[in-house]
Amino acid sequence: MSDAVPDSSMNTFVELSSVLTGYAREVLAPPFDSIDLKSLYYQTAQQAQGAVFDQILSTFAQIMSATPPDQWPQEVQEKILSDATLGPAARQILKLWFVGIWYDPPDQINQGHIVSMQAYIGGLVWDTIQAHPMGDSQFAFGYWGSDPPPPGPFPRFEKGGGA
Amino acid sequence: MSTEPQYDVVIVGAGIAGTIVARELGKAGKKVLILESGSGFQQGTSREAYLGRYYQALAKVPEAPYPGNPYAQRATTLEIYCYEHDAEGRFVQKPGCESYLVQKGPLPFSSTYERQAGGTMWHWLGTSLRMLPSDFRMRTLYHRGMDWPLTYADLEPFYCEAEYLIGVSADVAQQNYHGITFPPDYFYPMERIPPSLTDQAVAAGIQGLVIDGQELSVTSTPAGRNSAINPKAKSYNNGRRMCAGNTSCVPICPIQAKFDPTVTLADALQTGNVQVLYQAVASNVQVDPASGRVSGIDYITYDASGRQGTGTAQGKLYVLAAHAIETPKLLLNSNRQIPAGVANCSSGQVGRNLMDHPVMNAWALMPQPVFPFRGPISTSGIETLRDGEFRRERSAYRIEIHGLGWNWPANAPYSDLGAFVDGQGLFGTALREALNQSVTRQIDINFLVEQLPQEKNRVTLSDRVDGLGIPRPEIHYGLDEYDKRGFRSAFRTAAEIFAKLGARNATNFSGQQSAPNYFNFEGQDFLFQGAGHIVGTYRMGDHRKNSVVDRNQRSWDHENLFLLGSGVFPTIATSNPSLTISALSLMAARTIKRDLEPGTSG
Amino acid sequence: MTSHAKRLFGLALSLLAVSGAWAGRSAMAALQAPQPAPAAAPEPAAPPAGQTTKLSPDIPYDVVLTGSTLEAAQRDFDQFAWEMFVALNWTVDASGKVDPQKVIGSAPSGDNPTVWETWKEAGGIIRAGGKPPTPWGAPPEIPPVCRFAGGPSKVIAQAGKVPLPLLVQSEQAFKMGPLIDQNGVYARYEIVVDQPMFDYIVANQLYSRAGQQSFKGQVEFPFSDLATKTLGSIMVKAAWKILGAGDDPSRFHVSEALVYTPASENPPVQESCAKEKLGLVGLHIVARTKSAPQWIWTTFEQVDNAPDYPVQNAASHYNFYAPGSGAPINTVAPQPWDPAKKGPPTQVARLSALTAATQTINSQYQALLAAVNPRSVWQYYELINTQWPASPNDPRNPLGRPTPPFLANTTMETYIQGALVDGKVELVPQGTSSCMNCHNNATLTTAAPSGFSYLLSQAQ
Repeated sequence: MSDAVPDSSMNTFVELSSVLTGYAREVLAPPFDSIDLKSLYYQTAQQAQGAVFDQILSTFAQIMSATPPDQWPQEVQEKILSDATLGPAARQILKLWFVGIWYDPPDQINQGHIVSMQAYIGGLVWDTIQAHPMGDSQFAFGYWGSDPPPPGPFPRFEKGGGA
Repeated sequence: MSTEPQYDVVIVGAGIAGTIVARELGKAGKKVLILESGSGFQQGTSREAYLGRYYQALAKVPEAPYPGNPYAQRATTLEIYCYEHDAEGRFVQKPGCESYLVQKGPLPFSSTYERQAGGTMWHWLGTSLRMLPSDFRMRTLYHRGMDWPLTYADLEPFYCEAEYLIGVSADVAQQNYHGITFPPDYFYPMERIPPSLTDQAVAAGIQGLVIDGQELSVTSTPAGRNSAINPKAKSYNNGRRMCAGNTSCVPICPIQAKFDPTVTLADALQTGNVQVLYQAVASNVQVDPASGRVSGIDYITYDASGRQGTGTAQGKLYVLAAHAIETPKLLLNSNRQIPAGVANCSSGQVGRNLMDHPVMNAWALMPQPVFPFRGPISTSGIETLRDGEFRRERSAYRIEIHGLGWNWPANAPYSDLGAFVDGQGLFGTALREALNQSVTRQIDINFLVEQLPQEKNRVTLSDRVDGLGIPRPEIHYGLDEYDKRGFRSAFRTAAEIFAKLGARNATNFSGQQSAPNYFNFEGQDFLFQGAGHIVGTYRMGDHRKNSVVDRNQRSWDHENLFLLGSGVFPTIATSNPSLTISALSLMAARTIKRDLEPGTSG
Repeated sequence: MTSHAKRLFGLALSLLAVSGAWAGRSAMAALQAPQPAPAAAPEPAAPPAGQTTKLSPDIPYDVVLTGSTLEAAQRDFDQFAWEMFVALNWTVDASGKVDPQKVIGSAPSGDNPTVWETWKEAGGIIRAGGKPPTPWGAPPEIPPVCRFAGGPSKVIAQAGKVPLPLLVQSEQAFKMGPLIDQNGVYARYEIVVDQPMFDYIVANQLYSRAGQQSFKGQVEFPFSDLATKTLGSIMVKAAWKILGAGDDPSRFHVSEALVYTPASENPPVQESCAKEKLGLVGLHIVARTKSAPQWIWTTFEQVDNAPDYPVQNAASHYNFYAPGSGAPINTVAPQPWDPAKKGPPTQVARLSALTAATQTINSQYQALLAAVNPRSVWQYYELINTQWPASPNDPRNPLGRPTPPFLANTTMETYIQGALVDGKVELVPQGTSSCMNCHNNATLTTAAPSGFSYLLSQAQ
């Protein structure tokens, strides 16, 4: 699937997703990525949002080229999330990463669809709450009696983050 | 029609009760036919397909994995929202919204069931509590409800047998409260499931809390899920995987670490003496007018394109094990020969006394993380308030410590995500921190309230029909003052527990007046949920005038007809019904085998 | 043999790998490469640069990644898989030792007794009453019913010094049911482990429930280490069919074995035993290596097992598919299952086709094997896929991110290859066969993790 998306666009999408989700890019686009949610999400958003999606990416590409990474969150807040058109669309993508659901209309959590089984399983919210998706644990019998491992790495540019 | 029936026993329903009886009889060399209204099942492929549906379902409700079909319809969780309370507080159906169960109120019956091989225990939690000795004597002890026609002591050996058949994990030393007894040297086949972090926090936090004169304590819940094999068990190994804490016991265990009736069904089929006819919907019970004995069960077959044909299954004995809504529906629909319906002449009780454990969720934010969404959905409970003198005045309840945070009452973590992202505009690291801080501290405890039997809570035949033209169940259901006093107590107990834990109580049912499952009691708002425990519509008793079956679960009116499942419970008690259904089915199988002995007329 | 000798021998054999016309670097190139057909004078394509395709009796220690892309990594693991297959199926002599002179398949028959068949069978490890395993190299315990009347049991139970396999198991994992061949005969399954794994089980007394209860710590089977050139744990699961009408024995690795059907109460089956000629139809080879603590999972099949779904242009004969029968695919036979009787043949189709890259390496190895001996039975086996952990050391991901996410052998995971929804194949997490996902759930009888081996859960 990733073949269909130019590398530079995918790179922009992953970096933006990293800012939106607060996850290091190696979580979103791990090496040897046979599940490849990033491509599924890219295409889901592109198909549903069209020009708005392109505008989000081009806006963020500009941010990337104009500012150092530690300013990206602030820039995204101001230039994308605060925008009446781009904001809801970006939050739609953000929620897609967290729960694998494409919410439509974008600014609520009652209507939408799970874009794939792997998207449900790969939802970041489960890592965020130091748990696992309902119906899919990788841990062994009795793990629930002990503290969970810490959540996944934060983006490099975040305070205390980096991998 | 042959004079010599082809089968010894015809069973309606391939759920837990039907498959246990089939297994026992098949092993004894008896010929058995099961009529199953729903589809069949293949251990690998079907579970795959069910899991796929579950993962992709937005609402992960109990029926989410299971496809259902228009020719063997079932009640579904969200269909109660076809109803609401109008401005005058009347229970009304929303225009254009159809539910399978035709609900007449004043409250909705909110529990659901499956019609497919394996039945509703596909989505049981695994909770395998025994009833308390006092539960069998509610009338004698507390002047409420009805006594059972048998005692705890009568059922005890069958409880033991059922715990091995299901494969229950528990420690005897923790289960001997409120007078529960075990045979000397008895042990469960597997050790208790380890308590979750939430369990541990509640157990430590509520020490010293006294409610209605009893000090609360947390008890590991006996579960039909695989755990460490008990070192005392010489050779136990059920061949299924160990629980891996996938956190989806309801609605489906991905790895079958949790027992389901496909296990007993496979055992039954493996005997070579049991046949199943899938997609065969029993529509009428025939009775021989001369003897009063059941002489056949008419059924309708269907495939994806609809009705296919009809047939009549004949045996020496008949077992209806189609759950506490479909069984009375079938009996009442068998009204061509007997207008009141089969098994209903003496008592008129068929369909009456429908019960559930109406559930009150109570939720709070703990002062420290307790990490929900990890491990089996529930591993411990507070059993302390399942019995006491208070049962003269109000319902008893058990408190299930739930492991899904606020998922049940408030749709966590989705609602949290929506609140933080769409509501507060959070993103990135701040969003992660907010979600982590809130959701890891969520706790939900569920009060399973004992509902008393009432004749007016009942299943009747609707004038609306299903895809095969069979009348659908019409449900009349409500809670009485005794039950509501139980809710009031539950609400107060929850507040005391959360206060003792230092948790911020978030339980709140206000502003929901139009919800179908809303009621107000003495100024206090409540919402209740269904527990999935459908009980009481063909109860057992000691007299043909007040009950449908006798203590052997044999129809008072038709001596070769047995009615199985939780429909026979005279009262619902506070334990999840599956283990008791299993024990009673094992007991019935013994009676049926005896009936089939040569020289026994049956 | 010393590892030095092994290396020398491997070098010599690499001469068998005939250089091809291209030396493409990328998997894309591999996709476009013409498929070399096994022929009388084979000329297989050479592997990508940095790898040598050779036939060697050396069991590989680990995978060395030659690139950073998923495609390159998968190629490396598939290479490892084939090296494993060749090494474990190398010829052993009458004493059960590897014979470096006798190249795999070089015997006139095209077949040979193999390394893994000298390993320890499950029945000799997990014994009734928790008894200690029989020693390494001891023949399997032969049930009395297999000691045929009048015959000296040792002679019948063994061919030379290599013990005859004793095949018992006739159902797939978790009671999913049997696989029944075109002759109505149940397929049989066998599990063996290598000596490092066996020694670890014995040393820690993990073969009995009592031993497991006193075992403290984590089950950590020894792993192979390339740096120290030590071999670690390898387990093999084999699927066999009894050769009969319609089967061409020259296309199978054949073993004579005692096929034992134990007594059963449900259904009532009397124990029985027969000496049969069996053809190997499926082979899992699973190795624990330093780089893959979750093990590397490879699986092979005989090429005639089943067509791909949806079935188009079916061949005229399969082991587990009848062209034109119209029977529903991958549907388990109705119960009761009784391996002592004939049953309705299982109509099997493969739901996930082999990737082009896997087909390429298969063609290369099949050609090499045919070059040794045009009659080699080993040219009729194909790699299905290799599953490996992409994140082997992430505490948040104890499973290690299985890559590819799913893997099924049609002879061993027949019924969990995927869900067919409206004619389309859906691969379902936790439901569809994934070696690593499933074996991650394996435990001791005490519920402690058993290091990805289900064998120990059967301890008494």
